[in-house]
Amino acid sequence: MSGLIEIQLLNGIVQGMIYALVAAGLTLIFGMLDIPNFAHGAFYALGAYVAFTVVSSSGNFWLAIAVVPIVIAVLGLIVDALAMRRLARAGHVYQILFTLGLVLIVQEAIVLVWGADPTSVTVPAALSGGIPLGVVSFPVYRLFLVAVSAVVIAALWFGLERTRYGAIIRAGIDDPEMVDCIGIDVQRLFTIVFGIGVGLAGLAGALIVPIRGGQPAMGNELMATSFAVVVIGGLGSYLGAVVGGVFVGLTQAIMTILYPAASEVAIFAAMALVILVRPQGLFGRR
Amino acid sequence: MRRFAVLVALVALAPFVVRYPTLETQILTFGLLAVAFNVLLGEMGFLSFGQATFNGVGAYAAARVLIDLHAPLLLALGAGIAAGALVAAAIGALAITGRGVYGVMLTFAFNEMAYYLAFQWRDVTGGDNGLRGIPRPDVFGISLDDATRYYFFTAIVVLLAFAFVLRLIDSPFGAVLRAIRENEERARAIGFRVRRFKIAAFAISGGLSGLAGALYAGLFRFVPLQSIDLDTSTNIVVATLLGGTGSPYGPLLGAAVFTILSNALSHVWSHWPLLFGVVFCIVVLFFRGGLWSIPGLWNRRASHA
Amino acid sequence: MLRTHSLTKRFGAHVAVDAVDIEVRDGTLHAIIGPNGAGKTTLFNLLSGEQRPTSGTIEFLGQEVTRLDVTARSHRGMGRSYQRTNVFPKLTVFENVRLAAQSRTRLSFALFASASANGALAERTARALEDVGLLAHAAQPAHELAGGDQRLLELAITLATDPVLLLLDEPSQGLSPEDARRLIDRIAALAARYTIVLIEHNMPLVMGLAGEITVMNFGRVIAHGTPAAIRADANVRSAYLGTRG
Repeated sequence: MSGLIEIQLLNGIVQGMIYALVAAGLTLIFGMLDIPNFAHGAFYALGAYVAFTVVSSSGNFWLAIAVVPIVIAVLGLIVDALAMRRLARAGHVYQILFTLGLVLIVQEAIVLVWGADPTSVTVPAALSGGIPLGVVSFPVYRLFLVAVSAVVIAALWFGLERTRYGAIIRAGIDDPEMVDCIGIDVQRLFTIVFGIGVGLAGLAGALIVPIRGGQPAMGNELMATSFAVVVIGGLGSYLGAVVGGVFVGLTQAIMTILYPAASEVAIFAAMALVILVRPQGLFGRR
Repeated sequence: MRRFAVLVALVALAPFVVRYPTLETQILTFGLLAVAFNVLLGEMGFLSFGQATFNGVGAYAAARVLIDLHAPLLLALGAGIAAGALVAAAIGALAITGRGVYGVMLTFAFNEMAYYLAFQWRDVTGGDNGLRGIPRPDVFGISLDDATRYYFFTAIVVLLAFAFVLRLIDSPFGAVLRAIRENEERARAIGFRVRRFKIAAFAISGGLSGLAGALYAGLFRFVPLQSIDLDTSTNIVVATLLGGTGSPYGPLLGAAVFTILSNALSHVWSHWPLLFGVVFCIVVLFFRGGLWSIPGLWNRRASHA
Repeated sequence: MLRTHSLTKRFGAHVAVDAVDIEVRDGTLHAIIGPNGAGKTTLFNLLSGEQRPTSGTIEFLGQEVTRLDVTARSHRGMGRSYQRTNVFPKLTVFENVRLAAQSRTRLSFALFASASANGALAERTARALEDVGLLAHAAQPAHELAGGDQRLLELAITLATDPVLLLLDEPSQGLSPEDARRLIDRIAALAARYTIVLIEHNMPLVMGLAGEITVMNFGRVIAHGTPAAIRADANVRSAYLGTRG
């Protein structure tokens, strides 16, 4: 047994960092901009497939990590400018429905462009080894994934909390009219936040593809879980999304060891419990 | 009343015009799901993202009653209604404590839980193999073994359920649901116990969904795990919006279009969901009344001209 | 009819309503006035049950109602109107009022009955619409009404719940002078049949209408009496009339 449980826990952290990245983006969009973006998982899936294309055409995984978030963020900008702004006044129900339509489109577009079969990307040579851990070894790439995610999450946190732009964004969310008054285009600001949010999902997709490969429906499962993460952590709380992500990843890993049958139910039960007992989430204000 | 007569005539003639009784039965059961969903969305203004839960629970309950108790078919339908209504009332009671999007998320979370429970509880549901070997007993001594006969049986049940919904909408109860949709706070202030009405609406929607599930179980003598999954919930939402939420005829139309397209187009172009997604997004952006409202839009334009 | 005893509402360190004792006698039109931020609206929300007091009690028709919510108080006979228009926008004017009338019946869980075919409901609805002069607009969706008419509709909804006490929160707020006049005439006519508590900013209007006036400032009652007595009160002059000219 030695090492196996540790491996499971490490895998839980790896999965948790993916959740944290996705949920950090979702909390920007859902928590701060108040757009319940059901297509968030679809952007994640697109990120994985775009990464696949970049790697298979250039052979350079590093390029994929750099390019994918930008491509997905640009797509996000377009979606927000074309549709989400129009829907802001129609309310949540129509925002949910529209993003649901996006899921249909993206999922089928993936099948059309890349095919229905799973795709895979090989881990770059520099990261292909393993670190021995008892009788087994832990892949270096997974540690790399954790490190990259942590750096991106920390950088974004710094950007939001410690820079002028971050201050303007937070002010714009609290009091859009006020920021409008001081001559900043709030709509454009929100569009950029939307782009950054889905860009994070795209990055998560690019990072996961060497481990899991890509499947057209990969976004759906993740979507459900990351909503749970955001709700558990506290809607709009950046810290909550990150801690919630790691917490959910670890919980799933532990449940898989203890009682695999209930590992999925546990997450959604936790989410329901949080909404009913502490709707502001574990880290939410109010 | 005239619309309802047209609907009855359409339903009665359909299998003579196009001989796909199984597909047509599916349109009816899916239509009932959409109509049940719209009691919550269109009338009360609550987006329930977990309607497949009630459909699945009803289907499993009816199937178990048929398999284990060799119960008559009508009793099995009753079991489907009861199971759907009970589960919906329980989930609804919890879901409505969540405000706004949180309520939607709760129905979503409970649907996920229900799915995994059904997936794990193989003894009862058959897990991902589905539940097989469901008998389809005679009703009042009439054999329903033939697909067309089962279609007519389903048609009678669904039309009765639909008439019930029409009645409900015109009832004082229906008026309270619309009051809740329009202004919940004011509804409370003029003396309505809003919570009770919401739970009752969930029970009604769940009962009708459970009935649809039971009919579906009888149709294929089989309950697939998909009958309780999120994709089914999504399809119900999508079909209803496509048809329009402003009238119970809208969801019925949407369900018919959705079922026919998904069957017909999947033979022509396997990537039809792509097109469908685009159409759906356009509907959400520009035609929020759905297909059912388009003749009205046209009339209004004509009368303005 | 309505009496509060040492009614207090705190928001953190801020005391919005401070040990207020008010008595509204049967058949009077009792106005509550005071400068902005005097605590009138909070007091009103406490009376109607929208907010819970930090301490103190409310007695209505001889029974304590402090712990009852809005719905329960509505059934006891309190009907309130709102400062901003608060109707069911997409329903017709008739349906708006019929819902209120329906709330007094046992019909609401009747799934097989028809609301539109119910004669008694229709009659009660028509009477409330008549009272505010909106019968001609019955078939119009509420959101299509002009601002002044929406206020009248708001009033009709409240009337259709058969209240014994009307709580009116700044009914003339945001209305044109003509619309305000029209509304005041209706309220004056209703004063003969209902006990009314009225919050109002419009001083001349209050002086002409009210039988009794309570003046609030900083969450406290600073004066109480007939319009003539209030006009002469030195406290009121300095706190309210003085500042507002």
